[in-house]
Amino acid sequence: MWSLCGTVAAFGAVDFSKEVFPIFQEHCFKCHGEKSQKGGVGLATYYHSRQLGDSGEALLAPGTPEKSGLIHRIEAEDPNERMPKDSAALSEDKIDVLRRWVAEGAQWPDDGWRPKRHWAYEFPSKPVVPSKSGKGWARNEIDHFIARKLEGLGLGNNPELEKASLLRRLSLDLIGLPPSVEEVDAFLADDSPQAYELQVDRLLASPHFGEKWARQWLDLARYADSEGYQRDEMREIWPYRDWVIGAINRDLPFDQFTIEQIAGDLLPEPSADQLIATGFNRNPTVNLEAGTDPKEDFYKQVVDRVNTTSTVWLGTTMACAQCHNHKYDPFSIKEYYQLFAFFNATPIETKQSGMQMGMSGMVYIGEDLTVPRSEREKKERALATEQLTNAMVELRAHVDPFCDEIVADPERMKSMSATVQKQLKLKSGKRKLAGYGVVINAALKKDKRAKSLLGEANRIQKKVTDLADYRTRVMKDMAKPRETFIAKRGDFLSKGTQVSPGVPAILHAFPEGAPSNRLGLAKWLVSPENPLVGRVTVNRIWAEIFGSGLVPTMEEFGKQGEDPSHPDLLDWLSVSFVETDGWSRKKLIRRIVMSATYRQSVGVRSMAASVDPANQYLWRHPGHRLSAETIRDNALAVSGLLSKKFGGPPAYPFQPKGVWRKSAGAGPTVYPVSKGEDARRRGVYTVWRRSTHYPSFANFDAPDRGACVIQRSRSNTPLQALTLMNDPEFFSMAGAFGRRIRFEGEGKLPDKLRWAFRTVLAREPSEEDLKILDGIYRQEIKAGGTAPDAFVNVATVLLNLHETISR
Amino acid sequence: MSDSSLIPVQDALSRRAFLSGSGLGLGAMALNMMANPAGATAARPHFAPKAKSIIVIHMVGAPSQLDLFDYKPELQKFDRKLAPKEFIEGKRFAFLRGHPKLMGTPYEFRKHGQGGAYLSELLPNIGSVSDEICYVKSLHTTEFNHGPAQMLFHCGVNRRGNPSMGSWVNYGLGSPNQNLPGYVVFVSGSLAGGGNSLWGNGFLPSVYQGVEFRSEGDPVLYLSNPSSVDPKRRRRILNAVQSLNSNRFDQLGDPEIQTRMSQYEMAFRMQTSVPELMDVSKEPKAIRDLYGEGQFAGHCLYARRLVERGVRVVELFNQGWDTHGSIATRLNKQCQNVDQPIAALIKDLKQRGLLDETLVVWASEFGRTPMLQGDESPEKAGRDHHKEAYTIWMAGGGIKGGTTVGASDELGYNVAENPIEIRDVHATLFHLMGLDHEQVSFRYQGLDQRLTGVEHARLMTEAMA
Repeated sequence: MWSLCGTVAAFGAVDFSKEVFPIFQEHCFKCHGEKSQKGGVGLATYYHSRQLGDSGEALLAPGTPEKSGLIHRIEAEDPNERMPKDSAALSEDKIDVLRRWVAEGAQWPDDGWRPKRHWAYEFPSKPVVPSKSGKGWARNEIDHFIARKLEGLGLGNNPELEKASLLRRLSLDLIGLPPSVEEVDAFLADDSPQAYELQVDRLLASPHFGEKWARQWLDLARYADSEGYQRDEMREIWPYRDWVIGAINRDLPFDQFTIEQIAGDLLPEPSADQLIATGFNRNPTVNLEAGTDPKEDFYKQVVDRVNTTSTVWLGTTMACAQCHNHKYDPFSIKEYYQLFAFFNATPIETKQSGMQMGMSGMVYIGEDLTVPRSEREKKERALATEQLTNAMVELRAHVDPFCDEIVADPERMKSMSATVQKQLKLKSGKRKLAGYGVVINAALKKDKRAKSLLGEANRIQKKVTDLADYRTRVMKDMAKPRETFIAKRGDFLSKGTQVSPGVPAILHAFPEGAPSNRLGLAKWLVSPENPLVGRVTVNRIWAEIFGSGLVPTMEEFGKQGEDPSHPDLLDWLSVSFVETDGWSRKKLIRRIVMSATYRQSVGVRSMAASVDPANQYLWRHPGHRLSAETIRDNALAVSGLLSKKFGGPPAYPFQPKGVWRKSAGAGPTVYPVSKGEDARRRGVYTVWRRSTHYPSFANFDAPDRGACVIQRSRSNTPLQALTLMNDPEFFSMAGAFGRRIRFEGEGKLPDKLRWAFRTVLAREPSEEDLKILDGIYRQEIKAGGTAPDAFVNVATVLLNLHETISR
Repeated sequence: MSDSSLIPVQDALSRRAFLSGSGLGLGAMALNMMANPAGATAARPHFAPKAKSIIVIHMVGAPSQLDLFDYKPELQKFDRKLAPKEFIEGKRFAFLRGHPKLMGTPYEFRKHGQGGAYLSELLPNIGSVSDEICYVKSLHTTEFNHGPAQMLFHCGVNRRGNPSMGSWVNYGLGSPNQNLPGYVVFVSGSLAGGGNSLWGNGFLPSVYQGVEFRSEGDPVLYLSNPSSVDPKRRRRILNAVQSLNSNRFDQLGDPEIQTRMSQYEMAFRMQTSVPELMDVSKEPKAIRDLYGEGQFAGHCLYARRLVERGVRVVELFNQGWDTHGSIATRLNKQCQNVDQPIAALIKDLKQRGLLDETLVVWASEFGRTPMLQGDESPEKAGRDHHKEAYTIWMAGGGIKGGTTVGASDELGYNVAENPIEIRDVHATLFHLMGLDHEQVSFRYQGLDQRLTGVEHARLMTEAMA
């Protein structure tokens, strides 16, 4: 027993730093030290030792070695299980030390180490502008930041783009339409220092600004005119699209823009506009396929709302946490369903109904809002309704006597079909317009007066129908919200713990006194304390102008995203946007397009390209391709066909037969091509049907809008070449442009060609360019073509240039 | 200041640098620029592929496995008897309500080939190539509505937004054919509920999307010139476009311009290669007779012609299999349309030595219930959607023919042995094409996204030769 004196520690507490830690250092650090934490297990710091491993097992259960992962692993008999891996088991002495240490409470003095917080979760401070960088080039703060990076890389910037092309770029970026030759000339003639700035302000104030900038927002809002899935029937929610365009045009500050879309309905005495704005969250797909479980579909819609909200305002992909704790970012499944709970208060949107051939169908029963017509249209409708009443009186007076006559004659009655008989037997007041149609077509075919009265009544009836109030989808909470449970593994039928509305702990606190509903959530999203919303929003707008974001992974600012190319610039823009500019989108865009960085030419310099081939640091303007919608709008404008009609129900521009066709669902199969100017409206108004979106847009990377898309891909394919050359739409634009060149282009052929070139590209053609255009004209004549044909060739060539579909 | 002082330096832009970008924009352009404009880059497989091309034949609506492939003598005994309670309690079905009855198959089953697989009398021709086929009888899916289930089968998730497996394969392997898209789709009957997202590129660059060859109008949208533009005129216009683009490239050195130019040439070549592909008049009569009549038969013949030309992925969608009622008449008709052409495709590929390098997959989004739906009469009885266990089959490159993998239970309700998930099928098809499903990934939303997702996917080695 005396020998115990020599090992007195065995009696008292095990000494962590002298006995335990050295064992870890010697045997475990290779895989579980400071640098590496395999399997999520680390033994270098107090912090790490208190985390659960990837398996979910506790490494240390103070006081109970039997429940400690550490002890299990060092004592395991299976060599695949046993630690340290691929080496001999620990000696019995060492195992004994660790066992006793755990039994005694696994004392581990806190060394204070904590993981560094990911940059995006730290609140941005306004960085000092490096005003010494970019001397002689910089025009505003943006350029100083850009120049500092470039100077660090030993790179210079590109010179300013020549004026005409610059105005074209600016015009396409701000309003999505090209400048006319006259606008270009006026700009060229203006030598004042404010010339460019004046153009910027003119374009920012244009009503077309909202039409251009809505496109990006509508992609992420997953706005479409159909339900999606198999049935993919049409839905009416375009007033939401018009709300977005209008809000952007009047520069509704982004915080208010957010609150109205997330929770406009919960504002005190919301206006119709604020209700329409909540359509943002009524855009998710609705599955009307027979046999769908309405509760499951609703669950999917709420999941979409949570995922979209976190992607759009937090730059964070929460989708992983729907099924398990987020592996890379600090979001738990519980926090996911706490966000879910905010949205889990709106009524279900579908129900099973009616039995056909033993199968129940599905109907939409969601919350809609009636959008009244304008006062003028209301008056028109009232007038038409009155006219209809009069027309019906005339129709009855003329037709009813014939009906009575036929009913009185059994022989004639017999010769009529059952449907007709039924109508004939109706009392005068009960017979409706459609009934008169049936009767007249069956029995009074030769009665011209009857036919003309019927035609007139039908015409007025259509007018009344066409002037009916619009509908749009809105959010509305039920009096009592649903209880929300964690759906285990993302299965809505496996109920886990109940949760209440709440926000992720890693982010800023929920605003004090804010209601625990969507309105509170919206206020939390645009709280001045939110470290993400400013950066994420600024980054998206930057990318719309420069083709990619300062954070290239626009939809992901978490640990799995890429770091910003210019962290200081991102923060500076973000703080300026939120604090200085009061969330004004237009002020932010103005700052960007006023910069020298924006005004650079596109040319590739070999030295710069070898250092920064992807142009991440913006030593040139990327000159990237226009969006699908802008490519079409640009061609329509150039050809003189563009309708500038604003807003309203979707437009149906021509598309080839068979693109809409019979599907397994029940949606419309005939594509009702718009007539007149409605067929030539801006792309933002083109009908968006999810299963078959507009084919030429699809060829230029427009998404189907089935889910939130932050950044479209930008490909370069042969189908795009075929579209621009052969799509009857583009070919008819070329035809119209050809006529414009012929009749509007003044002077002789070279002048006309020059005018055509400038109409499309704004800049002056080179001698070489003109020679090529002259050649294509003359070749056509030589081949036996007419002058109009030759001008169509010139137009087609110009509309197909790479430069034409780029900025 | 003019840009003409700038030196064009497309060579300086290394491919690697482009590819390491965000994967959008620049990456996509670079991919196009570097290699095949039709189907993007000809990348390398991860290991030696067993198959170079894949043909997926999707029977849209879900054929009844119990009336075609999965013979259940035990089910016959319980025909028109109440289904066991455990089939119903706590389960969800699209349409079945209350306590339904079981239904035995109204068809005769016969053994075929060396492998001895039992097949319904409705599929005599497929029976004749049964020894080329590996039947998978224990496939399980999680969705029982068409749209979501079709998306799960084609894109790995039950909603829109993800790339289809054909897009992934194209992304992983590229396409060797310079004149045709790398991924071609045909649709017979009405469009599947999942719509064009079943062959969509999702978050991958759109160069990887499937291109539908249509039955109405141009086979490829916008393929033919406007009627007033003959090929000579088109060529003249094209030459002028290329000259002006070339001028611009000389000024700017932007490689995207060169890519655009090569795409215009490719489009021009497609105007010849696609009509040539679609013109089967030079096929011998014996071959045309082999495939038989009808739209779907035509699609099978095109499928062979496409893989013959090196096209990587072909998908044939055939609608009309959603037999909630009247199986007895509707299934007969559907099978008459597809049995001969599918067998012909396999025979024709084989006689040309192409079957060894072409993977043929016959599949659907789910199966049908052993329970009877609707009217009990033999003419009107049908079956509901069934996700617990159903049958697909594979043949050709790398597949062990004349075999069966997995089994459903004796009433055909649950998996009895060797459960297979959709992701296992994806992993296996990728493997046979020479791709490791864990390595074919694309960075999106901060994650390396994969067709097979995050859960473990198992290679079906038992199906491989």
